Amino acid sequence: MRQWLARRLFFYLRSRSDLDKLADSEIQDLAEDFVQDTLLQIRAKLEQFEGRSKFTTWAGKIAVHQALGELRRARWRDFSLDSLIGESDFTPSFLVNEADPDAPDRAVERAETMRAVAEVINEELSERQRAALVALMVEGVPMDVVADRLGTNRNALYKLLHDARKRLRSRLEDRGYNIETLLNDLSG
Amino acid sequence: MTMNASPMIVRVLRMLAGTQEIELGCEEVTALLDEYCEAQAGGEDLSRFAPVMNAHLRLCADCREEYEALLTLVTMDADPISS
Repeated sequence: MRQWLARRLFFYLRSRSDLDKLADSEIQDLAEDFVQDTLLQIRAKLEQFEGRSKFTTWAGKIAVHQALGELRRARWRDFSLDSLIGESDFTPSFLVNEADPDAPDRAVERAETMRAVAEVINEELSERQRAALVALMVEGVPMDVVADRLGTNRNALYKLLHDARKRLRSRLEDRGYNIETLLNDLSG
Repeated sequence: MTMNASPMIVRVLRMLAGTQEIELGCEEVTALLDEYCEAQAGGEDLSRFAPVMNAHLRLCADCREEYEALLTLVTMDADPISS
């Protein structure tokens, strides 16, 4: 099984564009390290294996979780959520300026809609939650890394975001907006 | 005056449009992931997992990356399997 994991993990890591600067021997070492950590985890989690998949597939799942978690944390080691705080006002910058008196009606309407959506986001989410959202959506920061910075884990962060999405949705609906209609209006 | 919709707002709205009342969490998705990838690799019917699995994988980049990696591992034509 060690060989099964090491070989496949090696080929997988070699195919990743973020690791293309590494020599094959370095990728080999990386894969070996990940497999070593994975084997320890497998030993600790063995009783959780229920035989719902092949053992190698189950082991592969643990290896992938382990390897990708480590790669994400290494790549984003210097990321600070605090650097985004204060920059996560969702009001689009052009809406802050005085309205253009010559803008066509449709443009004015769109600007109003976006302002309303931004308002709901700014009201409903804390500054830290908005910073997390910007990190995830704009900066492409992984969930694992944002969760670390918030002192939580990925599962809890997902649940927090899920609750936030439901709340935003219902606040917008309370104001008489329909999400699908809004999307059509804004992206059309 | 630029009148393109703010990409951020549109992305948030897309997320809201995909929001279900009940969604699987990352731990639940991870628990199913080996079974899901194996079923997919074997060309099985995935309807017992959908749409909850799909909804989560669309919204969670980390789980999606792990799903893609595991699927790559199990479908890979590497050396003869020795387990």
